[in-house]
Amino acid sequence: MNTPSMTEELLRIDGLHVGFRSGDEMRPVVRGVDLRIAPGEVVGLVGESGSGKSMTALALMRLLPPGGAVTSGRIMFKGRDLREASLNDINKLRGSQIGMIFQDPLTALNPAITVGGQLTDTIRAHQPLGRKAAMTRAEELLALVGIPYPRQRLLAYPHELSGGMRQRVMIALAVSCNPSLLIADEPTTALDVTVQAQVMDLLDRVRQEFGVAILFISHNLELVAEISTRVTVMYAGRVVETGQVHDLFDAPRHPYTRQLLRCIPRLDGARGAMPTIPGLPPRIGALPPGCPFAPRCDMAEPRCREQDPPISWRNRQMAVCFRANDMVPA
Amino acid sequence: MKADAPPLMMLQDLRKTYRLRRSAADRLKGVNRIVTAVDGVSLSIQRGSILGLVGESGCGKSTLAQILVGLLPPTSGTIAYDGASLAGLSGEAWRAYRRGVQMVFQDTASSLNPRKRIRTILMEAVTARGLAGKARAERVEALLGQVGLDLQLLDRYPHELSGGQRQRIGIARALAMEPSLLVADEPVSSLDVSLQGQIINLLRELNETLGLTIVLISHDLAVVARVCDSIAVMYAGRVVESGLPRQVLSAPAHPYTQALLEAVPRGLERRDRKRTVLPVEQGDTPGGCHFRRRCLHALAICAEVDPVLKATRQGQAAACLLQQPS
Repeated sequence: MNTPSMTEELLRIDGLHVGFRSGDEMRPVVRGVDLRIAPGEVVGLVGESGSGKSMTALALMRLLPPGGAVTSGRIMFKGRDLREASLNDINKLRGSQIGMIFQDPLTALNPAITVGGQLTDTIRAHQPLGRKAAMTRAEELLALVGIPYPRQRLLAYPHELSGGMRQRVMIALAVSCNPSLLIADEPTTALDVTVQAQVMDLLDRVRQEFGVAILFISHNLELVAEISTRVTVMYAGRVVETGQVHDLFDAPRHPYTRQLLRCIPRLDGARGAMPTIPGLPPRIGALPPGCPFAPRCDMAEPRCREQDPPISWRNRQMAVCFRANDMVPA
Repeated sequence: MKADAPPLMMLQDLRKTYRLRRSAADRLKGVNRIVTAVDGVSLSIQRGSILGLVGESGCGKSTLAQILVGLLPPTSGTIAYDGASLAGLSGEAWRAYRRGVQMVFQDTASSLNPRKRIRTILMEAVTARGLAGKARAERVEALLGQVGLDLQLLDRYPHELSGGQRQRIGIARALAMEPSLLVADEPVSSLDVSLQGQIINLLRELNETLGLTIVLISHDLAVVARVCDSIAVMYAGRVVESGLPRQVLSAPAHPYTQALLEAVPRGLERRDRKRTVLPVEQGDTPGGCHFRRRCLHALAICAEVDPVLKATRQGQAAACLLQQPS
């Protein structure tokens, strides 16, 4: 695929394959993912558990769990290939250029070090600041992410904070060195809806204030629609659809996106059965031939179960489906 | 559902408190620290209905669930089941109660024994119901059919099943007891969007075909609204609003319910929406309304008067002074 200009890109992933060792073979979990993020852009990455969305992000940070490895593809960040970079270089990038927020802030924070200690460690690892100056900066950051009494909170341990407060600390940590990319992997999934709303507002504020690009990974389409400018939908390790958020959600071109949208219960008070997608996602290592979604698809034809579906572009919206042009809006 | 039929279960002013471990300083000062998880809940559960229990983590909904299934004794208050008070139940009647009220858990991975095959897990439940031999094997197969699973899963272990399949096993195990009430504590919150509906629809189906009464605990208002006959919203151990889902959702009477509804992400409908975000949680709120420090409408009187649940209109009640003529 050709893109108009290379300079507009902060991150560009081409044909990424990630596999996990199982005995003698590599079981593929990410199978040829392309992803682009422009500076300051928010890209939503949507998919169910096992779709490969988190593995894509972890591969990019070189944080794959043991047994996992990138088998092919290119990961270009600011024009340099991260696959070629030394571990030392990657370590410098993490935190300073690329920040990360995870689903569970309790396990992502060090339980034995105070919030202030963790913030100053990170700040001083990447910036030439003294202890005192770093502490001042840490306090500013806590205030920025909306933590009341930031000076007192610097002395708190992660377990002394609520889930929402911990996620705020995570965000403060992630943006402490002014990164150009923030990877947020299900950042609000473990939180209550009211706290989730606070964290989403904060992410949006952080984006405006720091001009940081965000890769927002979530299974919640409502949240993705709220914050993203572009969206990529994954299924069984593959990108099935990608496009501008309005186009993709108003007129999905892949049946999976359309069926997923239909599953979201609306708050209109209507009673009755919930719409579902029948069947189950395929198991890794037991992928069906042809399109992986075909067994659950309401538009599948015989050829979908035999051949790999083609890439179909319309305007700026890409779908990997034989019937991408046959779709009627949901 | 007949409105005039006596309810299957009546909770009256139910309370559950925990005493926290005291620090040395507390002991010297003779201070007791008490946490009230459930703070005077009164609810009636109609036979054959689905009651939705909504609230944030820490609001006491799971504690209430554990009291309902008999895993926790309440500190005070009464529960009447089928017209009889639980407090007076003999050993035999208590066992019958425990059998008749079953629970489905949130975490499908940790609520099934990982070292037992599905067949064994269901067999144990059916055996506890007094079946043996051929009748037992047949019952296990019938249960599996009832929750929409294939017989070939019987020889698998829980970890070989998907989350949705495991949740179905959890439901089948509960059904083995032939319960009259099923308490489902966040049964779909760990499942993918495309599978949540399948489990919720299964619960609906069981409600319709078996007349099973269900208490559905969830933080997802949209799910609850879709399947429940009535809903109760909990905050800080109390029911702050209850009523018919359609009414509560379209015209929420309590500011907390309003805030909950506001917070539900709806990016697909209104992409440019700016929502009112609840102020950050404040810790203990002594005296008056527990919600007042986060409430956007609180008045001076809210710090003095503790509101009780009162009808605001037909089929809806709220515990808020602003809704009640003073």
